[in-house]
Formats: sequence, structure tokens, C-alpha cells
Amino acid sequence: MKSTGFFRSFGIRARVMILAVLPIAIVTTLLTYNFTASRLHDVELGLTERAMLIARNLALGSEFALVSRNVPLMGNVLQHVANEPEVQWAGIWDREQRVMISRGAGPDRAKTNEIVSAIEANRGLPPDCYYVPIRISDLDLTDFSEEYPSQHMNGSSDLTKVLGFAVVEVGREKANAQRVEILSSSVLITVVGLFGSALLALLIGNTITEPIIRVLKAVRELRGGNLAARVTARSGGEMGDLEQGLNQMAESLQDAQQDLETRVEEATGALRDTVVELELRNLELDQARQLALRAGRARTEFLARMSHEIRTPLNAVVGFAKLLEAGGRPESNEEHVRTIQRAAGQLLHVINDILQFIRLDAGADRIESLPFSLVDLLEDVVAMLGPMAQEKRLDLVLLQHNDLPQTLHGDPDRLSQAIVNLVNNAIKFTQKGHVLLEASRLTDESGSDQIEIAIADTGIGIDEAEQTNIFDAFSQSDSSITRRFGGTGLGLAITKRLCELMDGDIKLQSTKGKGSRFSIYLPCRGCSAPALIESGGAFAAQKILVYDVNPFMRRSLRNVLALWDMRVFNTGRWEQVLQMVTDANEHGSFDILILGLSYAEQKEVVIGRYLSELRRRYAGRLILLTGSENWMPPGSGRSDKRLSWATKPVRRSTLRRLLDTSPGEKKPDGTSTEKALRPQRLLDMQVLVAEDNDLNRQLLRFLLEEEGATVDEAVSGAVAVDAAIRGGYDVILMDLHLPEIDGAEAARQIRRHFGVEAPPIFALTADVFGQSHLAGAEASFDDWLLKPVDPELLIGRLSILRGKHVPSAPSRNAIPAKLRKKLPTVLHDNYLTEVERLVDQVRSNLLNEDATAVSQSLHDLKGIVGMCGDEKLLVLAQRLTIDLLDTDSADAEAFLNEVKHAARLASMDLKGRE
Amino acid sequence: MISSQQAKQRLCVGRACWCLLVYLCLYPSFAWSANTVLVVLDTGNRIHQSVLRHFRELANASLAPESAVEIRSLDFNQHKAEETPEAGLIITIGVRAAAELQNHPVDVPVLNVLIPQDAYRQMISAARRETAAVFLDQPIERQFAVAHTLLPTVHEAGMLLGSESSADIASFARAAGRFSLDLDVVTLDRGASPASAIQKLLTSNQVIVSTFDREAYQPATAKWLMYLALRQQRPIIGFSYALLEAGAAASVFSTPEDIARHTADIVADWVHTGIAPTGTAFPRYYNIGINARIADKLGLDAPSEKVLEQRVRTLLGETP
Repeated sequence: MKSTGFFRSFGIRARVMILAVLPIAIVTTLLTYNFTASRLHDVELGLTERAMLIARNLALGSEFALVSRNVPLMGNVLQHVANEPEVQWAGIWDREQRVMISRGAGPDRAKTNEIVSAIEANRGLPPDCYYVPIRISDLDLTDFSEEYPSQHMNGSSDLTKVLGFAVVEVGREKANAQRVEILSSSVLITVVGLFGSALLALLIGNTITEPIIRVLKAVRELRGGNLAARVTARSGGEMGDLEQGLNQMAESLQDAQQDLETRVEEATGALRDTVVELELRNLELDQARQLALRAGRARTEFLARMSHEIRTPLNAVVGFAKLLEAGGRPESNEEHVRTIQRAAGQLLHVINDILQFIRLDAGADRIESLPFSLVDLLEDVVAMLGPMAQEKRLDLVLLQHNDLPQTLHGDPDRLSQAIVNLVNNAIKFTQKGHVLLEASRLTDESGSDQIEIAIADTGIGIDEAEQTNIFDAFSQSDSSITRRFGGTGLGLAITKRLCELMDGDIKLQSTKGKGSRFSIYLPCRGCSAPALIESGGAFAAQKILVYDVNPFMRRSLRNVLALWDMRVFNTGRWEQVLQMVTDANEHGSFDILILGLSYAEQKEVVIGRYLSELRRRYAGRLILLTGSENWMPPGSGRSDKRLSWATKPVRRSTLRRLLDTSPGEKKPDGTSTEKALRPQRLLDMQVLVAEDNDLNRQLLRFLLEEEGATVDEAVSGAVAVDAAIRGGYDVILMDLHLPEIDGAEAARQIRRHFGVEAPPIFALTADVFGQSHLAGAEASFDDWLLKPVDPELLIGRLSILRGKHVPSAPSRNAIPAKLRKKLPTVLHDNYLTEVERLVDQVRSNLLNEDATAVSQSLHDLKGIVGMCGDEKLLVLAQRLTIDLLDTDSADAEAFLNEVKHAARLASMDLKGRE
Repeated sequence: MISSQQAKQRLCVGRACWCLLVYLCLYPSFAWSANTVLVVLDTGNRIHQSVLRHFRELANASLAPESAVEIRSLDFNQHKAEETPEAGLIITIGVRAAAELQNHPVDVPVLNVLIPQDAYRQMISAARRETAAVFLDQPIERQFAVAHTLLPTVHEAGMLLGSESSADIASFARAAGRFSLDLDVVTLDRGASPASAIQKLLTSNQVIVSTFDREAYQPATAKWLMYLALRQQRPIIGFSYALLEAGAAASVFSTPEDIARHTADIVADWVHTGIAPTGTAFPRYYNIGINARIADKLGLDAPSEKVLEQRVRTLLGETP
């Protein structure tokens, strides 16, 4: 059974080989063995027969000699026998076994004795020795022999008796040679036979096994699923039928499989689609989950950051408030109040960032499409953030290329906000060097014009790995930056959203430790308008030398001066300035020299030396551009009639005015120049303010009149409608929560009355999600403003209506200090009272659990609480929501007391400033 | 009732039947013994049967029908066991049958045929009575006549004889002389090497004439005689067909038919004369054969056997 298993483990080729070779091998071996044995036996037999024949012949031949005792005759006969090649020895013995005669090397005595004894015993002789008795043979001479009985009786025994023995010993050399030859030929035949039979078996076996193996291979492939596998039909007979049968079977299988697949495909098509859709959904869900997880992590980080950002100034506020409460010297108290205000301002900034991001994220902000001057916008930004850069002794450079269009169409406020964010960041993250604001016009790959506004700095730069998510919300490059520079991490996210809202894009190039370059790309709407072309006027073609160590500053000035057709020379080395001035004296001196002083050069000694060295060579007009707002020329410079100065970065209008100012005119002081030039941005604008809260109404009046507007008031919706219908207003500011008729309804009535001629109506709301209150009334309002009203934002929006854009400062919703000083006393006096009244009203409504009344009173309180510009109150106002209804009464009470306390402090602050 | 006549008739018939019965009983014995020949032989012997068969054919050929003899045969072994039947003549074929009849004699004439001369002599010398006989042997004259006829120029003839045949040498010499041959007899002594005797015989004689001699013609001796005679170109004249076949140049011999014919002649004489055969005789009928191959080797100018036989018979004075 083992053997059967053993053979079963063989392949068919091995089995066929065994089947073919084994019998042949066995038969060949047996035949060869038999043949060899037979031949060896024949050799032995031949030797024996040959020896016996020789012995017999010897016996016959020697019979007569023995009878006649003729020894010579015996010798002759023996010699013939001994000449035979096989014979080693031959002899004739007499009947007594005595050697009568012999030839050859006879046997020794022992062997002779052995032969004798063998003959006597009639048994076999020693090997290779043979003997034949020599007998007298009968010859019957009578015709009737039986009638002569005496003949046999008397003579037969004697006559037929043995006369002697013929003995022969043969050699085996020839036989052995024959044996060797037989064995050699047998081995050769066996080997050849086996090899030949094996070869033949292999060839024949292959003809059997090869088709089977081909069939097996095809079967394996079929079994493995390759139904296209076929057998190459090359065989005939049964194997050919098998191959063809297998191919037909495979074809049938393939057809069946294809048919089945088609059916399954049809049956599962819908299912697969569903599965694919589900997988896509799952993928999306997974992506969403990942996003949610990332957002969750970011939110956690953000909360931690916000906690830090909020708690830090809050601690300052609380701490200094306690100090104020404890009382102290008036000088210290003022300082404490200023500290508290700064801290509150930081808090307000953080909250404004969050609120704006939320609005953007919720799609609440809309983009305007208005014509505006990009150059003015950029100059406003630079002017606004210049002091911040000066504080850090950074050069803030505005580089405008002269191919910029005079006007663009877009949302200047959003663009300004985006640029301010980026410049603000650049200044924030740059400790040394400069911040470059560069605007240029370029053409993209599709041939469309674009405006690129790039903000480049020499700051800390951003790691490449961090650049991918730098525009994500709540992210800063790393937490150490947060600790070092502060911030919510929302600035870039807000900027990117703003760019996207403006159909633009923002890109970043940055090298860690070397600086960053943020580029805003905006579609160049309105680019068909002509590029900046300004006449040089009186100073056209004048020769002017610009000195500034900062090459960007030189380029900026050169671009502007070149725009005015001036012949501009520039250098960054003071020695070269002196050289150029000296050289110019021989060929035509410079009309004007502009010296842009770096912060290092703004030392009195340096400037004195510069003026001294310069005046020895140049007596013409000289303009100094410094980084300090309250800078004054040293010593003799003040009496230099040809010297004028301004603060860097200088506006084009300021520069032009400096160039236009004739020598001897009043020196344009940087500050005084700004004041003189500051326009009333809403001059002669007729504004109707519909606000039921007196304080808010008075504050709005004050803000608008400061900008030259004429203000009428309405304390209810109905009054507002009546006033509006009477006409003459350029714009109407409408609070949503008005008595009698709410703001939305009042706006609708006004629009219904005027139709398309209706004046712009701005909604005022204290709800962060102001648009939710506009639901269903969007068409009635042109825009909306969040209370407490950001003065700059308010003026900016209104100035847009006048077709004159005024950039808004970084939104802090705070009334600028210079305006706060000018707030009417009535506001100061009534502010605290009104806040306290509204707080009491909220408390009362909370106790009554009247949700509508709570919402109304909260709205009123939120609208008024931040009007004084107090940062802390602005923060607290954001928490004045309907959620107070769900808050624990003790917490709500504490919160309301906190509001009241903050209002009291703010009121004291207002009064203190008076 | 039976009448006396009827009783007589019945008596006569009874007597007649009785007489017939007696006649019938006696007649065969009478008839059998009158011309009856009993042949006693060895029925198992092929030659004996041949002789008997030829005898049966020839015995009555020369007799008248009324003289025809009845030939009956009996195996010699049966003769021992039962009483020998009545016969007018008993013929024995072979030595053993003759010896049997000698050992159990009967009162009937006996003819011994197919018996060697020396065997007959030995048997007669020991027997109480003499019987007629026809010998197997040929008379020596016939061999000398053949020798002379075949080799007329040869005068030296030799014979090899045993010591017991020395008494016959004189008669042999006389017979040779009749045919102008000088006979040289070489005697082979018992126990002596025959080779030297043969060598001597062949050396001194030109032709060898042989006769049956149990000492001289032992099988080995005869073989070497034939061999050496041939080698030495000496023709041998034999006395049997076997010797002719063995290498004799010519030989004189009688066949079983010759013996049967001779016996039939004797029986016919007995029937005609009523006289029982007596005495001994050599075979009347014989043949002469020539071994043509040997004769050719010996260079003999041999005539045909028929011519040779005629010449021999003429020489012997026989009627052809």
C-alpha cells in the first residue's frame, strides 16, 4: 500500500517512464542475464565438449597404438593433440592408471592422484581435466553373428575391456577471454539496450505525456479561473479528441461564465452603483469626519488660545480695576485706566476677529462692487499702519507700479481689510528690516488682467510644512508664535475668505528666517480704464536726487516722481549723494533733493552732519522724510527756508504738496499737514437716524456731524417713515427694533413710497447674526451695521455712497480716542443711567421669563453698552443674548452686575477725560 | 416301440458314427506324420523367420501337389515345454534350436541348418547321434578361387588363423595350391599382440584370404587387419557379406534365401526318396560380392560381380 501511494505521488510523465522503462529494463536485464549465462555456459560447455572431443579423438587415435603398444605412434597422436591451442597437457594412461606417455606441462603428483582416484571412483575430475577410456571397439565380421555364441562368450569381455585412458587438461585462457568478451558485450548490449529503450520510452512517453501535460496545464489554468486557456490541439487519436473536447468544454465554460457574468453584471449593476455611491458617501463622510476632527482639534487649540488671548487682557482689566477700586493717586489711576483700555481694546479686537470670521463662515458678508482708487486705498493702509511700523523701527514701503489703473471695481472695504490684516501681520512678525506693500498689474495665463498686491517682509518667515495650513482657521504656524506674538490665528483665514469672496486668490512664498511674501490676486475689474497718468505740473522735467538706504523706498519714490515726469536720480550711499551733488554743480545742479532717513540716520548728530555737508555743496530745495511723526530738524535746519520734511511713508498727495510748496512758505509739519488735509468725509450729507435709544441716537448724530453730515432723528418707525417721505435724505440709518413700526417694516414702506428712487437704507442691529433679523427684508435694506456701531466702518460705508472711499481702520468697534474726547456731555451723563436702566429691565424680564421682552431689552442694552467704545463693555455686550434665559439666575445676576459695573467704570472714564 | 429292424438300423448308424469318430480322431495324426516337416527355430530371430519364410515358399515348389509337405514351425522354447509333435522330418534353424534338439532327442530325422561348422562339430562331439547339417561357412576353395580370379597374377596368399585351427592348415594349403597360390598361414597366439601378427601377415603376402576363426578374427583384430591391409594395399577376400562391407575387396557369402533353398532341396530329396537326410554340407547356393570402393582404392581391375561369379563357378567346376 505504501508503494502504491509512493507511485501515486509520481507525475504522469514519471509513471509513463516507469511503465515504459521498467519492463524493458527488467526484460533486458533478464534477457541479458540469460543470454550471458547461456553464452558463458556455452563457453564452458564448449570448452568441455572441445576437451572431451580432443580426449575422445585422442582415445580413438591411440587405440591402435595402445593395442599394438606402439609408443612412438602414441607420441605422434599426442603431439597432434598437444598442438591444439586449448590443450595444456595430454597423456595416455594404461589400464592401471600409469602414464604411458604425455605432452605439455603435466599435472603435479597431487593432481595426478586426484585424477586417478576420480577415475577409480568414476566421479568428476579436477577442473579442466578430462579423460576418456580407451576401449577396443567391436567389428562384427559374420553375417549371422548370433549363430556364433562362442565368439561373444569367449572373447567379448576381453575384447571390449578398457585398454587405458586418454587424459587431457585444457587451459582456460581462451575461455576466460571469451567470458570477458561475452561479459563486455553483454554489458555493452545491456547499457545500449537500456539507454536505447529509455530513449525510446522517453520519446514515446513524450508523445503520450506531452498532450496530457498540455491538457493538465490547460485544466490548471481553467481551474485557476483563466477560462480563456486552450489546449494547442496537435495530437491525433484519443488525445486529439480529448484536447478538442477540453477546448470545447472550456469554450462552453467561458461562454457560460461570460453569460453568467453578464447576468450578474446586469443584476448587480444597480447594486454596485449603490455601493459606489455609498462608498463615495462614506468617503465624503470620512473626509468630513477628518475635517471635523481637524476642526475639533483646531477649535480646541483655538479655545485654548482664545482663553489665553482673552484671559490675559481680562486679568489686566480685572487687576487694574481692583486697583482703581482701591483708590490711589490720580496720576496712577489714569495710567491704570489707560492700561485697562488697552487690554479691553485687545479683547475687542479678538472678539471682532471671531465675529467677522463667523460672519464670513456663515456667508453673512456680501461683497460690494464699487469703483475706487487702489492707490488711495493702499496709501490709506500705509498711513494707518505707518505708526505701528515706526514703533518697531521698520520701513513700511508702498511700491506702486505705474501701470496700475486709476480706478478699480470691487469692495474697497473688504480689500482694505485684507491688506491691513496682511500688513499688520507683516509688521507683527518682523523685528528688523522692512515691510513692502507692492501693487502691480499683470496678465495671467489665460490672458486676463490681474492685480497683484503683495506684502513682503523680512520677518521670521514660515516653515514650509506650516505653509499648507497657514490659511486655515485658528491656525498659526506654531504655538510658540502665539505665545510670542499673540493673535487669534483668524487673520489669515479671514483674509483668504475675503479674497475668495472677491473672486481672488492669495498665495504665500516664505522662507523660514528670511521673510514672507503674501500675494493677493484680484481680477482686474475696471482695468480698461487708463493707467495712472498725472501731470507733473510745474516740477515736470525737474532734476531730482533721491537718497534712501532702502532700495524699495527709492524705487517707490522714483516710480511716483517718474509718473510726474521728473528726472530722477537715486542712490543709497551718502557719499555718493555728496559726489553727485558736487558733480551736478558743474553740469546743472539738482532742483530738489529728497533724503529718506533711516531710523539710524534720524539722530540729531547725523542729520546735522548731513545738512552741514550737503549745504556746503547744494543750496537748493531739500525734503527730509523721517520715520518719526513728531520729528523736527535740529538746530540750523529749523531756520533753513529751503528745507521741508514729512513722515515716511509719505502719501503722493503730501509729496506733491511738498514739491509744490515754494521756498519760504510755511513748512509743512507732518502732523499739521495731515490735520489740514483731513477732509470731512460726509460733508453736506443728509442723514436720517431712526433709533429709539436716545444715547445711541445722540452718539450717531455726533459721529456723523463730526464728518460734516447733517443729521435728523426719528425715535420710532412711524416717525422715520414720515421723515423719509418728506425727502431730502442721502441715507437712512434704521434700527431694526423700533416702537410702533419696526425697522424692517419702516424700510419697506419707505421703499414702497420711493421705489427705485429710494435713498439707501442701512439696518442697525445689535445681533451678531444681523442678517437673521433681515430675513424677508433683505430687499428693503442696502446694507447693515452691527451695534455698537464702528465709527470708521460707518463713515467708510457712508463715504462709499458719496463715491469717495475712506478706508476703515482695523475694526475695533471703538470710538477713536480723539473722538471720544469730543463726545457730548449729555452722552457722558446719560450713559450710565441708561445702561443701569436697561440692565434692570433685562433683570426684570428675566425674572418674568418673558422671552420676547428679554430679547428686546437685551437688544437695547447691547446697542448702547458699547457706544462709549469701552473694550470690556464691547466684550460683555457680545454675551448679551437670549441664552441668558437658560443661564442660572445667580450667574445671570452676576453677569448683569458685571455689565453695570463696567458701564460705571466707562462712564467714569468718559468723565475723567473731560 | 422300436422294432428290431429299426433297432438294427439304429445300431448300424451308431456304429458308423463311432467309426467315423475314430477315423476322424486318428486321421490327423496319420496325415500329419506322413509328410510333415517341423521347423524348430527362434521365432524371435528375424533371420530365422526369413529362412522359414523362404523355406515355406520354396519347399513345395519342386514337389508335386500330392507330395507336398506340411511345414509346421515351433519355437525352440516350446519344444522344451511340451512333447515334440509327430513329424517326418525336423529342421532346426540356428545353433540354439539345434542344441535344443540335441538335448532332447526325438525319433525323427533332424536337419540342422544355419549352423557354423565349428559349432556343429562341438555339438556333434558331445552328442549321442549325428544329424544332417547345412553349414553357414563357405568352403575355403571358394575364397581361393575368388582370389585367383580377381588377382590372377598374385601367388602369395596369406591366412591368419588361431592356434586351434592349426589342424586345418594342411588342407588349406592344398586348396590354395589348386589355384596356384602359395599359402602363408600366420598363427595368432592367445594373449599375444595381434598387431605384430597382422603386420607380419600383410608384409609377407599380396592377398589375404580369410576364413572364420574365432581366435584369429576377434573384432579388434579384424578391424585393424582391415585397416592396415587397406593402408598397405593388400586386398582381403572375405567369407561374409559383413566382411565385404567392412573392407574386404571381395567376399563369398550365402543369404538366408540361399540357405532356405538348399534346405528345400534336401526336403524334396527326402520326399522323393523317402530317405532321411544325412551328412553335412556347405551351402550349395552362394554369392560373390565386390567392394567397388575398396577395389578402386586398391587399384584392382575388378570385373562385375556377375562376371566374377561366373568365372569362379567355372573355376570351381560348378554348373552356372
